[in-house]
Amino acid sequence: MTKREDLRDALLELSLLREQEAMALRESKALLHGLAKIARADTPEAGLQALLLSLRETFACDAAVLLAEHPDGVTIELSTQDGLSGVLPGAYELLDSKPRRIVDLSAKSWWGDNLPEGLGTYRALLTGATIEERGRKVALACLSRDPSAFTLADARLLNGLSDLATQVLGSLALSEHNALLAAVIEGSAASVTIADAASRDLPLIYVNEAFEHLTGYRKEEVIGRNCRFLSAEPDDSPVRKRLRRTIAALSPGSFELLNRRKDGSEFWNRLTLYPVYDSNREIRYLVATQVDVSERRKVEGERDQARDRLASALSSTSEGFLLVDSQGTVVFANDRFRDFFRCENADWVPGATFLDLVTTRLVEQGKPYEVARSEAKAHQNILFTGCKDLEMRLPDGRVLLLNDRLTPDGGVVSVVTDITAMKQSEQLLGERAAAMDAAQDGIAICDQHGAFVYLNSSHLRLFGYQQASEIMGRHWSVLYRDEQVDFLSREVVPALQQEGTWRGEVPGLGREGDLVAQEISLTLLPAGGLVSVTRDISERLKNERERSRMNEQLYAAQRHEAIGQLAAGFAHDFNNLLASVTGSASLLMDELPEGSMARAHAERILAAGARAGTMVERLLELGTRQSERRRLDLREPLAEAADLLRGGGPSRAAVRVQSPNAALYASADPTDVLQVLLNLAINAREALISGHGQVELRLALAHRSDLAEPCTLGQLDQERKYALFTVTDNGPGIPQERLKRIFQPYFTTKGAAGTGLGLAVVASIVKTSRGAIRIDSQPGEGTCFQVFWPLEQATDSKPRTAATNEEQSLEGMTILAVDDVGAVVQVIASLLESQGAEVATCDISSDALSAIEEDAAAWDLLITDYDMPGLSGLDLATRARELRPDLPILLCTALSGRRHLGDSPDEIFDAIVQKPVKRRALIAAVKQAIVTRQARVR
Amino acid sequence: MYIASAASSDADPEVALASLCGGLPLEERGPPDFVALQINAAYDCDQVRKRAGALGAAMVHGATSCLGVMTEKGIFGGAHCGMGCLALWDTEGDYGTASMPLGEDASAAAATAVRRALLGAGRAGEAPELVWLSATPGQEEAILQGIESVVGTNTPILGGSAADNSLRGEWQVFDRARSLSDGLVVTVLFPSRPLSMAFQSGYTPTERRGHVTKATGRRLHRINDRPAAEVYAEWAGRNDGEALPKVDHVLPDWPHSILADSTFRPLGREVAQLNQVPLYLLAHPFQLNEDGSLDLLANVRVGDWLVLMETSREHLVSRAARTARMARSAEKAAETRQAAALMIICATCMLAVRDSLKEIAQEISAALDGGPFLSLFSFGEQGALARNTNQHGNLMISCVTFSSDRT
Repeated sequence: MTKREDLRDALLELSLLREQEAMALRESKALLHGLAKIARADTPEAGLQALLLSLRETFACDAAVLLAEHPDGVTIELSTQDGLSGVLPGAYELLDSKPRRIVDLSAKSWWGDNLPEGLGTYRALLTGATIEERGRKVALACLSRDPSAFTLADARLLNGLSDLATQVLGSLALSEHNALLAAVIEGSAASVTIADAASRDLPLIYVNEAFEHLTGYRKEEVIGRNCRFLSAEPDDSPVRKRLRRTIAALSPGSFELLNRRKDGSEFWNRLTLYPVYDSNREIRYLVATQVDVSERRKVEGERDQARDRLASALSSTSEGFLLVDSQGTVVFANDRFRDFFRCENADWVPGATFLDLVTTRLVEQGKPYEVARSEAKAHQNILFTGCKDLEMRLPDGRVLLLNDRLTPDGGVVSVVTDITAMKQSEQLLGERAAAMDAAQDGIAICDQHGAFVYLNSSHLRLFGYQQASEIMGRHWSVLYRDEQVDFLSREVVPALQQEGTWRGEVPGLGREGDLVAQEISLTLLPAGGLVSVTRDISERLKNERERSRMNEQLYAAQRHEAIGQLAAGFAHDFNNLLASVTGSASLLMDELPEGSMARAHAERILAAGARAGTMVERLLELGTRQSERRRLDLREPLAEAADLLRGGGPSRAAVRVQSPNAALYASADPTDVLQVLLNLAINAREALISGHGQVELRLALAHRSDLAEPCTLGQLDQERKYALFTVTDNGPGIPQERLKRIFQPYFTTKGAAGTGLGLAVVASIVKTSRGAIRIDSQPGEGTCFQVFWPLEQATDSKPRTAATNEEQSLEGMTILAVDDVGAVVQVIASLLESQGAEVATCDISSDALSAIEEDAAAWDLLITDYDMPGLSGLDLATRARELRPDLPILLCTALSGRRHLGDSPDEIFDAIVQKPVKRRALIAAVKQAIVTRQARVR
Repeated sequence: MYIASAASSDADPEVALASLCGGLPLEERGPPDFVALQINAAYDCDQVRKRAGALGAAMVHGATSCLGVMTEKGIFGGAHCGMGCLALWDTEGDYGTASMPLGEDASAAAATAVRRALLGAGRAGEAPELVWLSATPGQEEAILQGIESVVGTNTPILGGSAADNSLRGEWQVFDRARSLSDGLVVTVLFPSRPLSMAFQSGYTPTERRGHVTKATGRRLHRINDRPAAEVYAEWAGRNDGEALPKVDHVLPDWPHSILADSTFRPLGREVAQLNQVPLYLLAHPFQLNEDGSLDLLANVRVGDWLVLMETSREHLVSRAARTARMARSAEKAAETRQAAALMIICATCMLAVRDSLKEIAQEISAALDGGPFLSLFSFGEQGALARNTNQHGNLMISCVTFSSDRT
């Protein structure tokens, strides 16, 4: 079955193709039929009529028509049916470019009662594609009384035939055009000749009447001749050579050459040649027009002479001159003008138009043509209004002044002056005046009589005046009190006249009678008079006073601190001696019978020792400020330091402060922190070269990574949290050899200005606060002080009160006692042993640590001094605590006051006992240390 | 002229319509001038109609299609889903769509609809290049007559009767104004570029033929004065007699559907000749009646010569692409243009080759050089086998090709 199906499909396809071929054949036949009819027609009109008849035949319809646009609708312009003409009102859609196959004309709204006669009988209408013909729309159409007369194939065929109609209508238009052209040429006032380009010598085949009139030759005299007979130019003249080349190439061209008429007279002929092509694109004719331009040449010659004279006269002037006629054509422009308005692609030559030149120039400057043209027109309008003193800035910065004058004949003379230098001077003066007025310093100018002729705003403001008019014209002495006027007249004016300038500080007199602190600089002017520059120094004086006061306070504090340190050192040593004295006396008392003389002596020694201890305490208090340790947000002293620094003098150093958003609490004395910060910051500021630069104070929570590096002073506990103060300057830095000594007392690089105590105090405070300092300084790259301040911990609490007085036995306890003074540790051991304890003593702290390391569990208590060479009491206690966290540790110190121990006792030491040691106090402290440790361990 | 297709298999009609909108270049080209929209009858047709405004076209020509649609992108369908559209952008052309309920006079309704469509296109009184028709099954012949009364017999009409998924009468047609279960939608096309078309049966006549001696509309009582069912069974039965029931068999129920069985052996009527090649319009026998009559899906008249037509499965598979190629051979599109097509394939034929639909879609796409197309599956086809012969038949396939601008 498949073969049968395939065969049938093939047959069907073949049939379809045959049908398509038949359609194509019909289309071709119709086209040929139409073409044949058109070809046989004598005129285009007859051809069109023949085409319509062919349509009627092809479509077997009742009528074929040519429809054309009409204001009221569509008109039947040509028809195969006699009398079928007229307008179809409103039938615009028939020419709307859409081919239509109307099968029911009565359904069309425009198919009404007002139809042309005879049209109403038709039922169907077929229109082809719309054709553009001489600016209007036309279309071929077929009419039938049978509604089903036209098929889709008919519609497509009519569209194809419409192309044919286009050509017929085109030739109709061309024919009319040719006839018109011929009439125009013949009647033209211009001389026209036509030469046969197909012939070698280009003989004239046509000349019009104007040619005869121009040359005096008659047609019959010139037809068949080459028109070179007219020439009066030498054969080898440039224009003749160019003409010959153009003719040989049969190309278009325009020439002005001297010709001779039949009567021998000469005339200037403007000859224009252009070739005419035939349908094969070959040159068939050479058409020429001749215009007598003799009169113009003559006038131009006269004009050129006049222009040359003018040019000669104006060429050496500094002004630019332009003369244009009433049509905007350039008559003359001198070199200077050309220089001002130079064009790359055109020149200000006679004959060029102002509009074109300006347009070209603007296009060269990068403007789009349309914009340039529009602006050029605006320029021309301005030119012809005769503008005066119009300033113009050229792209190269030059400023021109334009003055245009209308000439009696409607032209314009434009005179252009380069005022660049003048404008620059004006601008410079303006800028100077503005700069003077805007200057922060007061500037005043007095004439040779001493009267003010100028005061700037700052000067007026400094002396409290609102308007310059209040003081302008008045003598300078109104701004001073009598004694200053006297000083200035007597001392300053002569010096000024001798040196030409004078500078100094002279208080002025303000408008309200107040004193104006000022530094004035006076300069004599060459033409007489003087310039006074006044600087307000009230702020500077205030800052200097403040700085002086602050420095005095700081130095006083440092001196106080030094006395304190001296006294503390003395007290420490003296207390140790006292401890030996009173301890031994106490032991003596235990051994001497009551009521004996010896015991009475021992009692007196004890009483004297106690009084001496009290005196030492007083001595210590004398040199030491009472510590006011409290829970402190470290941002407070930072802010206070910043305030003091900013108000602390006329330094040009910028002080930047960075403070964290969150509070950082430490147990600290605000004065201590402030003192540290001020010392470091003032040092930093004073280190800046010439006071220029930047000092930065920053407070932040120290990161763990900050704690890793070793410090210059003190040690950091990696497990503890610290606040980090950073004081940075971009000064010259500190040499390495100085860094080593920087914290030593009385070491200074400031000479007589320094006490050498500032950084020693800083070191003391930081050290006693269990903080640390790290210095990073490179010569030439500034210095950075990092101060680590321990933050408050959860275990921080108030110092505990004194131990209980209850005396208990120390029986069975093994105690390790350490003091670098052997006598002291022996006294302590004796006191403890007297209560039953077993005591091992060390006068070298490292030996004590070794003993603990050897067997930490062997000890029930560690008693240690604080200030010892090598391993300090704190260090020893810290290490012991690491080895044996539950080991009670008692601090026995000669240092007065808790501040010397910083925060450490509360954390490391379980109790403190003050030297000189008394038995009862010692025993109580031992007991307290044991109880406290037990509590802490729990 | 630019043409694009879009389709969706989403069961939610709103989602499916949104997908169609997303698949068309609506933002780039603006509202289309005409949209042919075919949907599975399982959708709520009126809901789709109300939402069809989203497609942007003033003229939407809609109808239900059996089990979905087919496009160059494949098959979009199933028991409950499948919709697709072909959208035309042709500002220089004119398009008009109108719908009418069939009422008592299907012919008059069709005439009214086509007049309204012409008015809508601004082409009253004119004959379009093509009339695109969708009618609910039953009165297609009268509808064609009504349309021809307005546009003439020499205007091609191409149509596919609305279909549902189970012959239960759930088919509908719709435009923007209404949806109808007993009506027609007609579109008149005046495209700015010529279109071409083909209407094919694809079946081959056999030697078995006879005269209609009694018929009323679509019920064929007697052939050669014998009961039509008996004659048909004789013609169509195989030697073993099992393919089709015979009238002397005791059947469990009457009437008895033979829709699927007769797909490969319908009846044909010679309606025209093309260069002496007879052209047959098919009538699909779908039901045997107890009285020995045979129900068809197209009208027959007393005196008609009926021929048993036959085809093979392979031929059914290949004929869709062949029809598309045939339509294109009549088209002289410039190479710069791309073919686009609207296709109508008989639903019964589609069901007979359902497992090859993907292959069919690929072949059609190849025939159209990858151009967009929309194919619907209908319960009756209308077209012209030769000029001036618009007719209704069954088991036919038709194709109209447009020349679209390339993207």
